[in-house]
Amino acid sequence: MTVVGDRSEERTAERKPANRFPNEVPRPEGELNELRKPWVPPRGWRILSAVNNTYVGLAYIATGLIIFILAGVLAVLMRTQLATPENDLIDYALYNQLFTMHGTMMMFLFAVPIVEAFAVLLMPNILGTRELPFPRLSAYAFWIYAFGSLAFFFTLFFGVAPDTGWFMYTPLSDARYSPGINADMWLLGIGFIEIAAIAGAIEIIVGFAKTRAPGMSIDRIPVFAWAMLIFALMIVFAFPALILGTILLEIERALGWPFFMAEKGGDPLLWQHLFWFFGHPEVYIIFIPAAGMVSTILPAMAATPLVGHRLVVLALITMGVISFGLWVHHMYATGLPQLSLGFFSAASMSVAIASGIQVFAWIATIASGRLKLKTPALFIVGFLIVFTMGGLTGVMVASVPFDLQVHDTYFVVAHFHYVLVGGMVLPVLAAIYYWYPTVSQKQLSERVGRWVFGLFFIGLNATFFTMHITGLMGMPRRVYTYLAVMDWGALNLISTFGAYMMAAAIALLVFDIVRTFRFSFSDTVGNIWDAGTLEWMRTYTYGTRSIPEVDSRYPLWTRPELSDETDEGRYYLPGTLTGRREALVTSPIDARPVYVMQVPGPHWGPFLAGIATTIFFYLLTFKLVLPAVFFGVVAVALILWWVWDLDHGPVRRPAHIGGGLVLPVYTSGSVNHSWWGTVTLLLVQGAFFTCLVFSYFFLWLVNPHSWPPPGVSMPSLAWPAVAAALYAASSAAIFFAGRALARPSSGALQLLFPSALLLFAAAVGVQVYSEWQTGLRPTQHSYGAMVYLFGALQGFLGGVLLVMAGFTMARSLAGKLDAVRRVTFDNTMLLWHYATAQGLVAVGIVSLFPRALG
Amino acid sequence: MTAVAEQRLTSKAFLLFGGLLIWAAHFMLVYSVNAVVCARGLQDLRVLGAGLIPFTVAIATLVALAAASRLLWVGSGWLGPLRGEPHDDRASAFLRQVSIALALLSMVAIFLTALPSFVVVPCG
Amino acid sequence: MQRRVPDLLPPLASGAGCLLLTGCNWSQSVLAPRGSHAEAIDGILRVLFIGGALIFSLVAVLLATAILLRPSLRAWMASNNFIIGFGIVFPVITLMALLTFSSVVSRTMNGISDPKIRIEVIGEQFWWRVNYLDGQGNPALATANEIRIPVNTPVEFILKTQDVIHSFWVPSLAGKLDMIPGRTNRYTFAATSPGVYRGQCAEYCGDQHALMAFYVVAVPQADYESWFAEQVGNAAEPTTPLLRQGRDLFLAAGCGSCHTIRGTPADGTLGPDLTRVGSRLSIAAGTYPVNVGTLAGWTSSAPHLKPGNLMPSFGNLGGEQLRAIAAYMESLK
Repeated sequence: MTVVGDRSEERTAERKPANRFPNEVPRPEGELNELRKPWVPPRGWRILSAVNNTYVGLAYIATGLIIFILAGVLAVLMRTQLATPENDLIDYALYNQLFTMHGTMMMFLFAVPIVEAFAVLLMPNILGTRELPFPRLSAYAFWIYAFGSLAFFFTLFFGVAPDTGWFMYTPLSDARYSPGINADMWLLGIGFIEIAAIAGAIEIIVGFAKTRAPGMSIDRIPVFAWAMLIFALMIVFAFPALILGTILLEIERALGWPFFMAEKGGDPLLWQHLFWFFGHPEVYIIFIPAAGMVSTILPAMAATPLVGHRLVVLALITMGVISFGLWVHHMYATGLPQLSLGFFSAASMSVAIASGIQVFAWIATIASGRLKLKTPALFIVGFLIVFTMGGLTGVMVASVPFDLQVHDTYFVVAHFHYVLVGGMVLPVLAAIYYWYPTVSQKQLSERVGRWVFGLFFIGLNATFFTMHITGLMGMPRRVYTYLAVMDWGALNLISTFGAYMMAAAIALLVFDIVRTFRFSFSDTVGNIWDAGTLEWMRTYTYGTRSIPEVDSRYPLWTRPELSDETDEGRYYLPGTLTGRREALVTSPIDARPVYVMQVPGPHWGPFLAGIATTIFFYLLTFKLVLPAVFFGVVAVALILWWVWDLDHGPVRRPAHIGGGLVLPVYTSGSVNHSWWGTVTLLLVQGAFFTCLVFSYFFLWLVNPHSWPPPGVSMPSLAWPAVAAALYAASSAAIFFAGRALARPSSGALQLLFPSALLLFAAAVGVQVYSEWQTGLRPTQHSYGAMVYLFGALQGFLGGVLLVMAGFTMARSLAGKLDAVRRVTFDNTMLLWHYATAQGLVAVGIVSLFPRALG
Repeated sequence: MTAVAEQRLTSKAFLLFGGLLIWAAHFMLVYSVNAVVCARGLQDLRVLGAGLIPFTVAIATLVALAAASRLLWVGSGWLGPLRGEPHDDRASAFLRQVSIALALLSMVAIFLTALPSFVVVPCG
Repeated sequence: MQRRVPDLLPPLASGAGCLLLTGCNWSQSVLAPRGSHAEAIDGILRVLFIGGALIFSLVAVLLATAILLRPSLRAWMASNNFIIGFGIVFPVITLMALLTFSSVVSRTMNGISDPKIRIEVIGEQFWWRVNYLDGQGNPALATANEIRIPVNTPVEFILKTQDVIHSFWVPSLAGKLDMIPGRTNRYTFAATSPGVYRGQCAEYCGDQHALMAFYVVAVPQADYESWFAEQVGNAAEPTTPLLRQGRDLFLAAGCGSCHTIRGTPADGTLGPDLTRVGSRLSIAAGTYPVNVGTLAGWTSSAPHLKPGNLMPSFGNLGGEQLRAIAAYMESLK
C-alpha cells in the first residue's frame, strides 16, 4: 500500500480516549463556512445534478413508494377480477400481464430498491460519516432505476407488458411461445435495472467497511448496517445468476442460440436453476434489511439495547449464506431425484433457525424494556405476528411431500405474501413512521397511524390467511378466473375485501404524508423516540458538523450530550482540509481513522447517463440496434465524463483533523475505497462467470452422448495453448505498465497499453476462431452455444478493457496519472488480470473438459 | 494500517465465514455428486458394501464436520490481541465469538444436509 | 360434479367461507385425500398444521407476555439463554424430527410401484392428451381430459408435454408433478376409494392456464375392465337421420383434420380424440359439461369461449347444422 506523506503509524494509535474531546471550542471563525461551501446543494432545476446521499436517498424512497402504489393498484385490479367466479371484468390477456407486472414490480422495482434507498439515505448518518464513498454511482443507479421502472410500468398501457409470470419460465417465454416483444420488455427492462441494484450494493459494502465513525469497531456497528452489508453481499452473489439467465434467454430469443430448447440440447430446467439461484436468495435479500430495520427500531421503541446483538448478527450472516442453498425448493415438482430435494429440504429448514434466533431476540428485547406502543411499534408487533405465521408455513413448504400438494396454489401465494408483506412491507412502514422525523419538520399523525396500522393489519390477514384455505381447496395460482362450481367464490370475496382494506390503509398513509411532510435535514422534528444511534444527531447535507468518536453501540444513550458536542465541532474533521467535500475513512475492523477521502460533488453525468442508458435498453427491446449503440456510446461517454474529475491525488500535505491526528488526503493501493469497489465488482463478475461454468456443466449433464454433439470435432490443443499464452502476455504487459508509472514521461505506458490490448484481442480471436474453423456454429446445439458464449464474454471484457485502457492513457497524457496518483491505473490493472484469469479458465474448460471425458 | 493488519483482516473474514463456507462446499459437493450419479444411472454401484451415494455423503460429511471442528479449535485461540496492539480487544473478541458460534451452527446444518441421504431413495 | 363432505376435516377448514356460505366442492381438495399419495401427505399435513398452531400460540403468548406483563414477570426472557433455548435448541430438535418424518414419507410414497396400468398424459396448451399404454408401451386407447382408473390399483402416469411446461395435479389423489419439454416424469399412485376427482394444470402455461382441468374417475376393478373394453372399439354408427347428418357435417366441415373419431375417416391428431366424447364429463378441458348445447356452443365459438386455444370458430354453420353436429358428438358414448 502507498501512504502519501509522513504519517507514522504511531500517531493513529495514540488516539485520545473517547471521553476527551479532540478539539477546543470555540472553533475558528470561518471554519463552518468553509465546510458548508462545497456541500451547498444545486438550486432549482439543477437539483437533478445533485448526488448527495440525502437528496438521492429521499428521491429514491419516494420513487420506491410510487412503484409500490402502482404495483398495489395492479393487485387491487386482480383481486377485483377474482372477487366472483367467472367474472369477465378483466380478460385473460390483461390479467396475465397484471400478475406478471405485479410480481416483477414488487420484487425488482419496489422491494430491493426501497431498502437500498433507505441505505443510501440513512447509512451515512447511522455510521457517522458525511457521505458514502461513491455518491455519483448512487445517483446514476437511482436515475437508471427511476427511468427504467417508469418506462417498464408504462408498457402496460400499450399492451406490451410481459405476460409470462415474474419467473419467466421457458419455453413459455421463448420466441416460439411468446413471439411478441412483451418478454423482451422483461428481459431487457428488468435486466438493466439490476445494474442499479449492483451499483447500490457496491456502495453499501465499501461504505460499511470504510466509512464509519472512529471507534465504531466491528462489535459496535448497528444491526441496520450489518443487515445492509449482508443484503449487499447477497446481491453481489445472487444477481449475476439472474443477469446470466436473462442474457441467455435474450440471446436465444434474438439469435437462436439454444440454451433452453430441449430439441437442440438445451434444457428448460437450466433457466429454473439460474432463476431460482437468484430468486430464493432474493427473498432473503428483501427480508434481511427489513430485519435490520426491526433490530434498530425496536431498541428505541422499547428503550433498551437489543438483547442478543451478537446472536442477531450471527443469524443475519447465517441467513445470508444458507439461503443460497434453497433454490431447488421452488423446483420440488420438476421430478428431480428424491435425495436432491432432500438436501434442499434440509437447507430450507436450517435457515429457519436463523429466523428463530431473530424472532426470539426481538421478543427478549421487548421483555427487557418497556414497549412504547406508538405507530412504529405497532407495525413491529404486527410484523412479529405475521412473519411468524409466514415462517411456519415456510417450514411447511420446505417439506417435500407437503409442498407437492400446495406448490403453485394459493397456499403458496398466502405463504409468500405473509413472508414478504409481513416480513418486509410492515417493517418498511414502521421505518417510514420511525425515521420520518429525520427528514421532516412535522411528524406523521399518531392517530392516523393507528388507523393505517389497523386497516393494513386486518386487511392483510383477511386477504392472505383466507388464501391458505383457498389453496388447500385446490385453487392454483395465476388463474384469471375460476368456475363457480368450484365453490372458491366466498373465499375469494373475503380476500378481495381484505385487499381493499390494505389499499385504504395505504391511501390514508399517503394522505398523511402529503399533509405533514415538510422537507428539511437540519431543522427536523428530531429525536422524538429517544433513540440511541447516530442518525438522531443534528445533521446537515454534510452529515454532522464534526465526526463523532463512538464508544458504544448506542452512543446517544451513553453520552446524551454527544449531539451538541459534535455540533459544536468538538470532534474530528470539523472543517475541510481540501476545500472539497470530504469524508473520513476508517479501518474495517477497529474503525481507526486512516485517511480523508475527497468526495465528489454535483454533476450532470449521472442524470444524463441514466437517460442514455434507459434509451439504450429500450431501443434494444425494439430491435433498433444502431440507434441503441449510439445511445450506449453516449452513456459510456457520460460516465467517463464524471469519472474524469474523481481522482484528485494528494492535493495537499497530510493535515490535522483534530485530536492530534494527522491524516493524508489521498491513498492508493488496497486501502483505497475505489480499490475495494473494483474488487467488489470483480466478485460480481466472478459470480457471473461461475454461473456460466455451472450452466456449461449442467448442459453437459443433460447431453450424455453429445458433448460435443456427433459430427463436431474439437480444435487441436495447439489453439487453446496459443490463446492462453496471448492472455498471459497481455497481463504481463500491464504488469510492466505498472512499473512504468514511476516514469510517466518515458512513454512506456503509451506503448504497453496498446500492446496489451492487441494481445488480449488476439487471444479472444484465437479462442473464437479455433472453434469456428472446425465448422461449429452457435445455433445448432447447446454445446456450440456455450462454447461461443465463453468467447463472447471474453470479447465483452475486452471491450471494457479497451475503454478503461483508453481512459487510463488519456489521464496519463493529461498528467493526471503517476506513481502516486494511480487509482485509475490500479482499477484497470485489477480488471485486466481478472479478465486474463477468466480467459484462461474458459479456454481450459472448453478445450480440456470434453477431452477428459472421452 | 500495515500489511500485517491487512492479512489479519483476510483471516478474520475467513474465520467468520469459514463454517458457512464449509457448509456450502459440502452442500454443493453432495448435491453435484447425487445429480451426476442419478443422471448417469450409477446409483447401483456399491462401495465397501454401501451405496455409492450414501457412502460419498458419509465421507464428505465426516470431512466437513472435521474441518468445521478444526475451525472451532483454531478460532478459540487464534484471534487474540496482537502484541503491542493499543486498542482494547473487544472487536476481536466479538469476531471470535461470532465465528465460533457460526462454526457450531454450520455443523448442525451440515448434519441436517446429510440426514435425508440415510432415509430416502437417492434417485427415486 | 361430486360433492361430499370428508369424514374428518382439519380444523383450519372449518372457518372457511365456503362452508359458511355455499357449501364446499371437495373434488379438488388437498383436505379430502382419496389416493395413496394424498393420504400419506395428509398425515404430514396434520402434523404440520397442529405443530404450527402450537408454535404460533407459543410465540404469541411470549410476545404478549413481553409487552403486557409486569417487568418482574418478564425479566427472565431478556437474556441470551432465552434466545438460545427458543431460537436455536428448540428449532434444531423440531426441525430434525420433521426432516426425518418428511423424508420417511417421501420414501413411502416412492415405494409405491409395480403399476398394473400405464397411462401416458401429455400436456398441451390448454388440454390433456391421454394414452393408455399396452404391455409394450404402445398406445392402446387414446382419449382426452379424462382418466378412468380402477381403485386400489397402482397406476403409473407417464408425464410429457407437447409445448410448454404444465403440471399434472389431482389433489385428492396425489401431489403435483411437472411436464417438462425434453423430459419424461413418472409417477405411480392408486386411488383408494371410488369417485370423481378433478385435476388442474398447476404450472402457468399461457393464455388459458386457468381453464385447463381434467377429471379422474376411480371405479371398481370390474367396472374399469368393462369400460376399457367398451372404449377401445370404434365409434358407434349413427342411428337416426339427425345423427347421420351430424356425422356428415362433421366430416364435411373438416373437423377430422384435427380430431379423430375411430371408425370414421376423421383421423386428425392435433386436437382431442372424440371417439367417446359423449361419455365424458366435460369438454374444453374441464370447463363445460357435455350436452348438446355446450357442444354446439363450443363448435361455433371456441375462440371466443377460450381465447388462445387452437380450435377455430365454426360460426359459419347454421343453428340446425350445429345442433346436428352436437347431437352426433353427444351420441358418441
